[in-house]
Order: sequence, then C-alpha cells, then structure tokens
Amino acid sequence: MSDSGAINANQLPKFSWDPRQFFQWLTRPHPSVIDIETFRQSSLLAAMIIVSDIVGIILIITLLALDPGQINAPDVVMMIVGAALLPVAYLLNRAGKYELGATFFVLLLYIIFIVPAFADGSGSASLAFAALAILMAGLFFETRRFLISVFVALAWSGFMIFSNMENPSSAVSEDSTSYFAVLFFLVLISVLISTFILHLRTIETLRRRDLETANEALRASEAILEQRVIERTHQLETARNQAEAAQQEAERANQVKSQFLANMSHELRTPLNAILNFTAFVADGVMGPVNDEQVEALMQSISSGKHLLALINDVLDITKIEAGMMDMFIQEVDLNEAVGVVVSMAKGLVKNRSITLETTIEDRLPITYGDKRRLRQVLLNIVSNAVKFTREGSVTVRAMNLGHSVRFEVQDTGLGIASEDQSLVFESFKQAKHDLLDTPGTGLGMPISKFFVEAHGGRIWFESTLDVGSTFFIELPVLTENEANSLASKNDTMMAYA
Amino acid sequence: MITVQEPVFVYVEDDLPSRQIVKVLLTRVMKFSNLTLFEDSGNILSRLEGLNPPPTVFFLDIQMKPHDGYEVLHLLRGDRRYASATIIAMTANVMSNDVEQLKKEGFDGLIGKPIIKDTFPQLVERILEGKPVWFVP
Repeated sequence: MSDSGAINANQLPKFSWDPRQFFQWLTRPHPSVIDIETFRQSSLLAAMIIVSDIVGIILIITLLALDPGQINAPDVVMMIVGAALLPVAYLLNRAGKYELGATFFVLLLYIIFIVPAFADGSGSASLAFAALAILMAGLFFETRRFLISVFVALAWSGFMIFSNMENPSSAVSEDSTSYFAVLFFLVLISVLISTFILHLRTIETLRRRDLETANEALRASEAILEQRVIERTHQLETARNQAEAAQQEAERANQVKSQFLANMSHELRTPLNAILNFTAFVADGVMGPVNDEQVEALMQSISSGKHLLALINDVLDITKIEAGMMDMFIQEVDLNEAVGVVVSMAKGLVKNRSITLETTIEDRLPITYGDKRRLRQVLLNIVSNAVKFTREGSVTVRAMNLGHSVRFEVQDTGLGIASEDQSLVFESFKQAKHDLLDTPGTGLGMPISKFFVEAHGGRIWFESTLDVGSTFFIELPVLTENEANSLASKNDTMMAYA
Repeated sequence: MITVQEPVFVYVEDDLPSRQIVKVLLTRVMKFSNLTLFEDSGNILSRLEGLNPPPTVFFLDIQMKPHDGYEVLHLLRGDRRYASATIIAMTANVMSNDVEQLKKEGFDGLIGKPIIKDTFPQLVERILEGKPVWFVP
C-alpha cells in the first residue's frame, strides 16, 4: 500500500501533442504533490478549470451573439473577468496551491454562471445558489470538509427557502432569469460530467501506471528474494559441508581414540602376562622351593599385577563410556543363572573372612534381554564391594521379582559411607580412603555399574550410614529384545555426536 | 573298551614368555605331554606335516609374522587334515570388536591375555569337552 499510495516525479506526464497525453500534461499537478489522492484531485481540478474556461468563453460569445439586448453590460464584464481569471485558479493549482486554486475556481464559477443569471433584481435567488457553490467547493476537499460544506449548504438552502416563504415576491419569477438559471445549471452539470468522463481516463492511466510500478517493484523484490534464496542456499550448503567435515573429523578422531585404546590394552596386557604368571609359578614352587616370606612377597606382586589388570579394564570401560563408544552385546539373559553365578562367586569372596553370606533369592526370576556379561559385572561389583568394605558381620543378597522389573539388594554391616562422601560414589576415581583388602579398588566400579544399569533402562541407588553399613539397590526393567537393542543403540547414537 | 585320546596341542606364538607360560601350564600343571611350540607362522602347513599324530587343538597368537592369526586360521581351515581340530585364539587383542572379529572369522574360542594361571586349566578342560570358551581377563 505504501508503494501504490505514493507517486514519484517520473510518473508525471511529459509534454506531447498527442491529445490525450497533452490533456494529461495540462492537468498534471505540482511535482511536490506526493500522495496519490491529492494528485488525482489536483489533476481533476485542473481539468475542470480548463473545461469550465472553454465552456465559459463559448457561453459569453453565445450570449453576446444571441441577444445582446437581454443582458446588461456589467454582467457580461463580470463574466469575462471571471473567465479571464480562471487561468489564475489553474496556475495556483499547478503551483501546488491546490486548495487555494479550488476555492478560487468555485468562486469564479459562481461569478461567471450564477451571478449573471440572477443579476436582474432577483439577488436573493443568486444567493440561494451560493449553496451549490459551497457544495462544489466541498467536492474538492477531503471527506470531513466535504461533509461540513454539505451541512453549510443545506443550512444555507433552508435559510433561503425560509426567507423566500416570508417574502414570495422576491422568489424566482421572471421567465428570462429562470431560463438562464436552468440553462446555466445544465451547463454546469454537463461541465462537471464531461470533466469527470475525460478525467476517468487520466485516473485509469495513472492506476495502470501504479499497477505497473507495483508490478515492477514486485518483480524487483522477487529478483532480490531469489538472489537471497540463492545466497541462503549457498550459506546452508557451506554450513552443511562444514558440519559434515566436522563430523568426519570427529569420527576420525574417535577411530584414532579407539585404535589408541586397543593398542594400549594390547601393550599393557602382554607384559602383565609374563609378570603375573612367572611370579605365580615361582610362588607356587613350580620353579623350585621358596620360603613363606618369599611367597608372601610374590603374592603382593601378583596382587598388584591383578590390580593393574583391573585398572586397565576399568579405564578402558570408563573411557569408552565417556567417549560414547561403549557397545553392548544384547542377548537373552536368564537372571536366575546370572544371580546364581554371582552368589557362587560371593561365596568364594567371603571364604576365610569373618563374614556370613545370606541370600534371599526368589525362585523364579524373569528372563530378560541385555548384555549378560555386563549385568553380571554390575552385580558382582556391588557384592564384592560389600564384602570388601565389611570387616565382620554379614552380607545379604536379595533378589525380588516385581513382575515388570526385578530388584536386587545387597546389604552389608560394613564401614558405611560418610554422608559427605555419598555424592561421590558414582563419580570416577573417587573411592573413599579406607580399604580393607590388600587389593585396592580402581574407584571406577560404581560409575561403570551406574552406566550399565542405566543402559538397561534401570536405576541404581544406595542407603548408607557410617560404621553401620550400606545397602545398594538395583532395579532393572524386564526388557524385550527390541527394547534392549533400542536402549543399546541410544548409546551408539551418543557415539555419533560425542 | 574306552580309549581316551590324548590331545595334541600346537601353540603358534612369537612372544617367548607366552610360549614358556603355556608350556608350564599345559605340561607341568596340567600334565599333558603332546605340545609343539612354533615361534613364527612361516611355512606353517609344511612344518605341521612333520607332526604325527596330527594336532587336535591349536592356540594361535593374532599379531605375528609372517602370517597373522587370521591367515593361519584360514590356512588350517583349508586343510582337510585339521578339519576336526579346535582352533583357539590366544591374544592380548581383546577389545569387544576384536572378539566379534574372531567369532566372525571362525575361531572356536578365545583365551585372552594375560593368561590367568588359576582359570587356565578350567578353560582348557572346557575346550576339550567341546564347549565354547570366550574368556577375556
């Protein structure tokens, strides 16, 4: 709208001898007129002045030629002066003084057409026609002023009718004056109508011009838009290429990391093979007799070697977990069997310790899907922790079938965890200081367990009181093969964006 | 009449300590008598021809020269004489994708390194019973 509501200088008609274009050039308003409504009104006014002047001149000539005796000289002079002054109204309009030009024009029309018609004694009738002039003047202004002029014209007419009724003798009576009044009124109407018709073409031309300009603007903005789309597409492509390159780089980095882990694992395991086994052979006396002191020293070596092996495994696990590279091998898991294995291993752990192992295992635990080895690792981890941190007393293992899930509880009467340390339990390398066993933990078992429990859609938590003991809880949902695989692949997805 | 067939072991391994450890475990701890050690995989098939009776259980290292464990596996699988032999990988390459690869290529089992002295005899017994063994220490 803002585009079509304004005009610019090059829209103004140029001079040409072509009649229509010449008329448009003649009726062209001042270049400073920028809003389209004023432009049209100003143009219309110019057209009306031109037509009125021509009609006025013809009228004067006709009057002079037809019946010179009927008309008194002052009236004719006034008409001639009025017609001569019309170009002033035109020039005022052309100069951008549209309102002044319009007022002046109406005044002159009144002088040319109305005044002479009633000049011969019926002055009040001519005054009555002033209402028409006021109405006309209103036509050239915006709605509010037009309505005011209608109101004033009506009021003026009413006043004149009222005064005529009181004084009927002064009403229009003479044939000649009424003849002239009707004639001039018809002329005035025809002037208005013809001007309107002529002017409609100008308006149409302008409208088409507006439309073309708008279309051009549209085409231009379309071209700009198209250009922007191309640029934006290009930017998006560049961004996508960068993202792809970044992803490839990340994947390559992940591969390098995996390769490094694999190499590290291999290079650490190979010497450990010799360290652990030759030490054990010597300690066992396979290589010849050894005394108790030597056996004790060698057992310390073996214990340290085993700790190193556990550390390698846990560091590999935690590194894979943190890099989102931990993959799981999903298969059917019979929890009865898994718990059975863990309990039998727990029996081995409490042997030679002043700890009793108590078990409350439900007969029929469900069969689920998951990574069998990892689930066993998790259960064994919390059981061996319970044994490790209990000096004397008991370790109780419970397993409950809750229908859609299964719950494990491992309760001990051990050291317990100080409340300030409890938040660190599932964090890497944050094992509390005290250790009862000669084999210190890696401090990675709990975070790894938490990962695997959650990777199976379960949760792990604990309750603990210092010097009283701890209870660890694991709740695992019973999964279908698809559910387990989709949980495991979530972990893969993590890898892709790690 | 029951004939207990004595297993014939072959271990192809370029790492000396590993060879010594397995030798101690199989012969001194487990009291098996028929074990042949190879320190590389060159001309492995022709060198195996000299063995009588033919080997029934192979332990193969993976990272060795000139043929790695996978190549040796395929050479053995392509030879009718060892069609019924059990072929076990014995390696320190025990990352989960390594294990998947071993299974895919056709190994019958895995004893990962480091060898755990106390577990090794049980693993070998299981292997001799024809049960699957995929042990990662």
